Formats: sequence, C-alpha cells, structure tokens
Amino acid sequence: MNANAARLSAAVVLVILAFAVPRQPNRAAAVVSPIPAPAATLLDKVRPVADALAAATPSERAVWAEVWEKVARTVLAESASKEPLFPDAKTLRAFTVASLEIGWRRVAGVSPARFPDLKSAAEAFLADPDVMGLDDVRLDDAARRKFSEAAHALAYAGIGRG
Amino acid sequence: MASEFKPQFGYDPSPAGTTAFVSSLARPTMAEAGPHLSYLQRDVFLGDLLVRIDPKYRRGRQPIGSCVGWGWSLSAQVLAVCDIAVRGEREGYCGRVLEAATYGFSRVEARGLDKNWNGDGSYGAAAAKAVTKYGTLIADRDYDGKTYPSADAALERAWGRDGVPDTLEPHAAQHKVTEVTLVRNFSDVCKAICNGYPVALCSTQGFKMEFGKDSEGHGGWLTASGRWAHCQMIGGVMFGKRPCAVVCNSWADCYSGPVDERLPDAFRRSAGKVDADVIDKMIGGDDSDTFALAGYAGFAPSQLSDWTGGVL
Repeated sequence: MNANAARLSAAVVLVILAFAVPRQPNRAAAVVSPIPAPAATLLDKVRPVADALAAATPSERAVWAEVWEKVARTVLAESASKEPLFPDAKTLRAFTVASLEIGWRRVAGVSPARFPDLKSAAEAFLADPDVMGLDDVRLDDAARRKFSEAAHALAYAGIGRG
Repeated sequence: MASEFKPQFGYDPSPAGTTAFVSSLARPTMAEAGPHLSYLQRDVFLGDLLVRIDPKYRRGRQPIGSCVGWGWSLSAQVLAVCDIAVRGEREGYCGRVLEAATYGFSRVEARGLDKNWNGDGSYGAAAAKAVTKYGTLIADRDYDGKTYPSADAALERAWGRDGVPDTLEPHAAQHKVTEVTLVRNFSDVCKAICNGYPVALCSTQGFKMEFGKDSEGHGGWLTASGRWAHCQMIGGVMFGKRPCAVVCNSWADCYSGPVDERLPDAFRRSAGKVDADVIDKMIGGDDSDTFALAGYAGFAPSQLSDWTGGVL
C-alpha cells in the first residue's frame, strides 16, 4: 500500500467513525424537567409564554422556571400558615413582581423587553379569568392552589415544553 | 360663609308613615338589631375615615328642601367608608352618594306614588325605605352615557316630583343599604357610631349659627335655639365632661365662631357638637324618625393593574 492509499484509507475510516460516534445531544433539549406538566387547559393557555421564550438561552430558561417554581411553592405553603403573608391578590401580585424583579431581572440579568412578546403573553395568561384574573380578591386556599398551578405552568413553559 | 347663607330645610314628618315602616322591620330597634353592641367612652368621628379615604371631600350645600336626601346620602356614603375601613369589606369606595336620587326615591317610589306634587321635603322612614328597597346612585358616575351632579336644584326638584327615572333603578339597586334600625336616644347613637354605623337624624330642633366654646377651650358647640325641620347625619360622639354628638349639616361651611380643631378641616364649619341631653330630645324616644344604617352593598373590588409590574 503506498502512502497515498494509506492516507485515503485513514480518511475514510475517520469519516466513518465521525458518523458512527453518537452525536452530542442538543443542550436545550437535554434539560430534564422535574416540573410535572400542567393540566391540558393550562398547558394550552400558557403556550404563548413558551413561544415568547423561544430565543431564551438554557440558563435564562432555568432561571425563569426556578423563579416561578419558588413562587408556586411559597404561595402553596401559605395554606398552612396561621397568618398568611398574602391575604389578597394585591399582596400576591406584589410578591410576584418582587420575585421576578430579583430572580429574572437581577440574578439572570434579563432586561425588560428582552423577549418582546413575553410581557403580553404572561399578562394575558395570568389575567385570564380562568387562571387568576385581575380582580383584587381575598385569597383562600383554593385561590392559592389556583395561583400555584398557574405559576407551575409558567415554569413549565420556561423550560421549553409549554 | 355665614353672611351668604340661606338655610334650606325639608324635613316633613309623617308619624304614621314612620310607624308603618318601623313595624315592617324584622329588627326595628337597636335592642334587636345590635343586642351585643357595646362601646368604650372614646371620642369617635366617622368623618375622619371619610376624609382619609376621600381627602378631597367637602360638604356641599343642599339647593332646595332636600335635607332628607342629603342627610341620608351622606350616611350611606359614610357607611360605605366604614364597611371598607372598619369592617375590612373588600369593596371599592363609591364616591359621593347622589342626594337627588335618595331624595327622589324617598318622595315618590318609596311611597308608592307616580308623582309627588306636594312641594319640597321628605321624612326619615321614607328615606330608610328608599335606600334599603331602591338603593343609591353615585354623583358624576356615568350611567348609560349620562352623569348626574350633586347639588343640582333642577335635578332634585324634578326627581323629587317625578321620582328617579326607571332606567336608573337597576343601577341604584346594585348599591342598597342592607339594614336600618330605629335609634331612640343618645345611648343608641353611641352604640351605632362607636361601631361604625352612621345615624341619619331627623328633628325639629334648631340651633344658633355661631359656635360656642367649652371650658377646655374647644369650639364647635351648637346652642339649641329656634326650630329647624331638618335632617342631618350624626357622624361622631364625644365623651369627657360634656358628652355630645357631632352633627353634620348640609349647608356647606355654614357655621361661624370658634371651631373644634380636633375635627378634620372638611367638617369644622359644616358640623357642630350637640349636647347628649339635646340629642335625646331631638330624637324623641319612641317617636323617633332617626335611624342607624348598616351594610352598604358596595362596589366591586378594585382591579390589579397587571401581574408582572413591567419587569418583563
């Protein structure tokens, strides 16, 4: 075998190997969600939020999901409290804004309007009367559960499966 | 001020009408309506709550003999404020209750009439029936493209004669006073006021237009004099050496003389203090046409501006 034939054989082997070796998985698709999928009706309603986050990086998606997950857990835990921190929608809204401000804006460094459709999509989702609505109402356990489910759905939308 | 002042009255008692109405109440007196109501002898002025919620509030001036509409409308408005501030009910502040509507309902609909051609005036029980059965309207609110201002003489005269237009009745019915009960003496007044229930007072007792001062230097005292067939709201009670009620008139800033600085500015010259024994005489015991109000059906809770506060 002359030198050229040897080089050609080596190249063929390398090309074969290149296709034979399993490809690295897509990083975004590899994020495994510990968040269970929301109910079908919520999943449908929250889809515009997932669409608005289509260009988000994996770390931005992770922070988004984490912020809403923590909000969901905190609000749900209120039901066991004798003196709830969020007796009504107004205080719950203040907590939501503060959580987003800290987690999304300060920690993840995401500036307003970085995702142009995200604000309107998230607002429309939460303002939907079947999700939370905009009435400043007193919160009972059922309302807290409802909000917690909505926040779960937003978290789920963030990790690309909404 | 006092120099421009032209008093308007308009309390037209109807003992038979009041008796009939009171006998229709499930809980006709404070003893039945609030058997467990008690009070500490601490000064209370419900107008403080009103100006806290509505800092621009000023007492207006009744343009005709519509004092019953004015006294009862302010009572309903203060009741709404107390429902929010004292009882923590989740409702929006209504604004100024429209006197013309309360007056019109009390003169026409509440009496089962089509028209009331009988001059000006009304009485307490008729207004009680008006606000509990027909409800209240709000001044300057848009009702099907129209607004109705406070202190409009033509409007008060027209509705006092023709009643409130039928098209407005559904709007009024959304904001009724749930319950009224007869107040028979100063003790009843204290129970009501100290628990956040205003009192609409109908009486024929008059007063001097210049405030007096007490031994502690507080002004704002009204001296009984003459005869006023008049409806006003009792908005406060004070104790100490001279127990009294704070009576809110509907003649704008009508009183002269030394004021009681403890009252908010909006009420210093439109409300005066009346001694407890005079209040007892004004109310008249079993002949009373004076009522405490409870349970305003307020406005839907306010809405949130958004959920995310511009963070996204």
